[in-house]
Amino acid sequence: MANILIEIQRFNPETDNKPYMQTYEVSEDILKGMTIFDALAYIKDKLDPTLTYRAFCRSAICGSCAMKINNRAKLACKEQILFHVRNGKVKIKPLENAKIIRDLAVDVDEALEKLKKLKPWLEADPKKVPDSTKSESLVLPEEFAHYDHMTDCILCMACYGSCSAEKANDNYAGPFQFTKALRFIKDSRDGVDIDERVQLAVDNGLWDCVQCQMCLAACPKGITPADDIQELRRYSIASGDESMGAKRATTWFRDVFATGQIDKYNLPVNAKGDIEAKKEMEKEFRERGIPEDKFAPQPFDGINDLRKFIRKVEEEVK
Amino acid sequence: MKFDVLIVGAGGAGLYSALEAAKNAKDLKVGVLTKVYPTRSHTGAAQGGINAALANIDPMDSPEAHAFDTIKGSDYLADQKASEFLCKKAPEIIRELEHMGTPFSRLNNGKIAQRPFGGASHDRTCFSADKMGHVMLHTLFEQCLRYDVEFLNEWFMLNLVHDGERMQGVTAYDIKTGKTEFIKAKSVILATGGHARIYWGYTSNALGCTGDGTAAALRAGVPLKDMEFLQFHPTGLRRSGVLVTEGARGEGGHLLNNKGERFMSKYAPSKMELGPRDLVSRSILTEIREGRGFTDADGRGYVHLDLTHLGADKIKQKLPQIRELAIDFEGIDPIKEPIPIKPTAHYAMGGIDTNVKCETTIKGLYAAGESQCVNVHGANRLGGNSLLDIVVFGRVAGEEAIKFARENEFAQGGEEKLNDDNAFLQSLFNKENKESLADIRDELGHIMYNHFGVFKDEKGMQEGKEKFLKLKERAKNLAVQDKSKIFNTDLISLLEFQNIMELAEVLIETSLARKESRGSFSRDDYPTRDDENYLYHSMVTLENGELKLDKSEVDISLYEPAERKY
Amino acid sequence: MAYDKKIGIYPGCCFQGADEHNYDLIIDFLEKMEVDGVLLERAACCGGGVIDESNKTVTYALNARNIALAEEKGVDLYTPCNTCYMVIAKSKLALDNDPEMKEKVNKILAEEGLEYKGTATIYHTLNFLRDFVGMDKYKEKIVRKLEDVKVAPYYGCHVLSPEEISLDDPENPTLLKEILEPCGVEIIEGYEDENTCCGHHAGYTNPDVRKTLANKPLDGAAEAGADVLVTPCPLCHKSMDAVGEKEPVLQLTQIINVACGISSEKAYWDLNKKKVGMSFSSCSI
Repeated sequence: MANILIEIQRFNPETDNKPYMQTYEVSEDILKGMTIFDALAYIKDKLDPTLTYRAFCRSAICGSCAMKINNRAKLACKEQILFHVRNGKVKIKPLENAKIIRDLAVDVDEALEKLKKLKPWLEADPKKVPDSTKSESLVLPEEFAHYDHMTDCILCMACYGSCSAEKANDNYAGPFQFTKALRFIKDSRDGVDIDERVQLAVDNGLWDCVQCQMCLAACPKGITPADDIQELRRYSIASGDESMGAKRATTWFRDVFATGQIDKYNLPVNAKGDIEAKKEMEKEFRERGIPEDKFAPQPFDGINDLRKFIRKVEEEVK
Repeated sequence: MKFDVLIVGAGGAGLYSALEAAKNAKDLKVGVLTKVYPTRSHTGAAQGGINAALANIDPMDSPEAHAFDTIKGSDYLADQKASEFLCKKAPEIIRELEHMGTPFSRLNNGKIAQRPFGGASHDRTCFSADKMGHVMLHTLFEQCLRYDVEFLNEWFMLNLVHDGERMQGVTAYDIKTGKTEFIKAKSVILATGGHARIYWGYTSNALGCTGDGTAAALRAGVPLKDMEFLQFHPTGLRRSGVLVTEGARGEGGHLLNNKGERFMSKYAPSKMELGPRDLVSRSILTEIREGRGFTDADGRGYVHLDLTHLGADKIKQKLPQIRELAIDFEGIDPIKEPIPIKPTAHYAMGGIDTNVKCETTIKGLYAAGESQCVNVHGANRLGGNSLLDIVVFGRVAGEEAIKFARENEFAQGGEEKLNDDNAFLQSLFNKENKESLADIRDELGHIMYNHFGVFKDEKGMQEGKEKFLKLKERAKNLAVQDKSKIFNTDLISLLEFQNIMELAEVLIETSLARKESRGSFSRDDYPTRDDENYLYHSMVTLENGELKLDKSEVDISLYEPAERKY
Repeated sequence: MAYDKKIGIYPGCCFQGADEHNYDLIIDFLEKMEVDGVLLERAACCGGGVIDESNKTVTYALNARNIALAEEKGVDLYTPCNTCYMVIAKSKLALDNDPEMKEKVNKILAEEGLEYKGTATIYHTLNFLRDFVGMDKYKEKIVRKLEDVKVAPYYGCHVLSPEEISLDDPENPTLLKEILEPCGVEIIEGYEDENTCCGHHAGYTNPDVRKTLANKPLDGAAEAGADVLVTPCPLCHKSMDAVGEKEPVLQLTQIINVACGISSEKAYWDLNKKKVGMSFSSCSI
């Protein structure tokens, strides 16, 4: 039977200047039916006792073992290793965006500090939550359904360790942090003003998200932080957000309603008052010989049908 | 480092103590020391639910009925007033949890939903889909963030330090940096969880459920109680032992032998699959032993847990996590096929001896949660009562620890203990390693499962004890192979292994000493309950390097022990 | 010219107005692949992930309509843009899994004489070549090799994430390599940050983020000695060309079209702000 090459990133700050890849060869026979966690344990027990990783529950609930498998963040205990062999290899690296403590164990404190900034806890609304323990708050199943799936989060940080905005901007709160913010906005028992929660999100980088979808791809529980971020942005716009991102959103929708397409020519002015950019675009277009009626989109034939359609959808489909 | 109250362990019990202190004792310096980040704790793996006589489903339910079910389920080894206390406190604690934001599943009228569970005379298990422990743990953690609880994350407690009467502090090891410290404390709460990892390889428990606090208490001369009572959960996944919640049976799953029979009709005709856990475990292993089970490629016996008749919708809505587990770990979709399961070591009823106020024999030392033994669960714990136990007694321990810290000064001394611990750790680094930790650990698991598992007898246990003692000798040759100071999980695994060896020995001795069957403790050679001779708590204390066995009285003041029939 | 195969062209914002040259690229490309392109004239913006910030259901509905326009003409839907692909594919998934929403949207679509059936396949250039045109046919159409050209293939995020709509194996995508190699180029694999997002969508939320991210794969490609970074997404191309520093970038169709015989001018290579170097020896036409 073939030998699978398991390439694992190693780094011990005591002895190494920088991370390096180390390859372990294990027969396919042995790896059959093993999860990636089983394989790591096998390597540590039989081949290299210095291999360091976090693991605890082995049942995808504690969130200890998130790591990058072939550049995609996953829970090691939940993945059959043989499913992840590519060209005879499996590449294992620690999560990104977090300082490496050793090998596959990364610092999680920074991400938790960012979480704390968003008030990720319930502050009971006295109108909804009784002040005695004689009874519970009443929450209808439909209300509960609004935040049920968001409570699946196990704080594994697979999303955070894959996040593009985080890569670009250290101060960015992070995907799971925003999901948590939304979870409490949706909880009818929460007494913190929704505007306050939304503002906290905005202050901690809500508009920095690049919607790369890596967080959705990474989440072992199927939570969708990128979608939750969109929803938080909706809340922010509704409460009068005047940022560039909010202006982009409003002008975008308005343009599509008016012409069926976005107006990239006027977007700089509409979103951030950038007249220079518009002038530059005009210069370029003229140089390229583009006719003026093509600078900005024109409403297409049948635009009224589209407008009626959009309005009806807004009213009738929730 | 110095704390008025030091809590060791950050699961449900530890966090509840911490919240108690954070809310009501802002004048005190409180710290939580934990070897894993709080939300990693094993509380999060509890799936099925948390019991309380809210009477939301069944208006006839009451804390008294709950207490009786608990006492009966305990096979009459529970301290009845303590069990009563647990059940009386349940409704208010559930609501306290709910007010904190715990996302319970709901009834159409908005109240907390409740479902049937093993050994319960009324439907009283409150739940959140199949992830009750997870949501509860996270809610408690969120509140700890709110109240700025101080955490010492990824610190491993080495030993308790006391002067024979009073706590002085603990010694601990910072996993991230490898440094050790003596932490001075007035009150110490041990909330370090259970020790089912004694059955290495045959347990649902997380890797670190190694009873570190329980073993430290033993080493410190604190008595352990009822250690022979270790519950097997009837349905663990065949390969990994990972838990398949009782809720799967609560929602209508069937246990089938290799003839396709619902064999529980022979053992618990009225409760069927929802008989108490010890009964169901024994029934499954009897079927396997008598040739009516299945056998896998590695020779492990199992039976079927069949959910196929429930239909895709119900499984997707009520048991999504179970379905995922079966697919990921067993490669089986329960919508289409039955899940292969076998009994798995799950919960330790026994632990550090405390009274109902969580006090131990050392002043200032408390224990709460699975590491503690009051004993409210007696010889067998009902499903849904552990999540309840940890928060009820987590709160009590918090209250008591705060009171003690307010009424007492710091005890002097104790720092020198750190020298002993440092020397010990150094020896582990310096020694030459001559054995494989993984092999010895596996061997411990085989010995315990085969000789001290669901079924036991004198001959088997004596054989097992011999094997264990040989293993103990071999274990002396273990040393740390990874010499780094940074995040040394090899060292931690070795220390954890030493803890489970110490606790395994206690379980071996107390099992041999109990010549009856009661609750989760089953002996082929003494198959019936013997109240006349054995209605006592077994006590074990380490004295001069020897395990000294003793007895203590069981409180049976409320209900006369009767035969336990379902 | 009429070909046997027909495909609906969904014209995203990068294929209209001042960006109409990208539309020309597609027309030339389809011509070479012997596929009739049927322009979905009344199609509207896919939402771009931005209309979701006003009303997510409108996004789903707009794309139900876009897909219905293709279904009305009896064709599948082809979009040459990563984000349009992702948004339309995600919308399709949402509609197919929510019969109630689908019904409500169809009721309104009926007023325009349209119906979303869910039968049309959503194509992006990558799976269009693999599944609709076929790799053998595609390779037949290559008439010249771009020798001495080192290409860093760059997928961009939205064709690989989320996994439900992924066009290739996210852990080891090979489609770009399979498509580019027959053009004669040398593929640079495993360059640093090859999986890092270009940050395009931060252009109007945090431009610094866009600049930082766009340069990461470009720096990696440059360090690995690539002559050009090639991406199947016009948005990645736009951002990387606008704010990138160390490496030029071209769209996939720009390379394919040239390999199939179209001149580099007609493939709009010179529209790049960062000009492609003249090391494409067999390329000067």
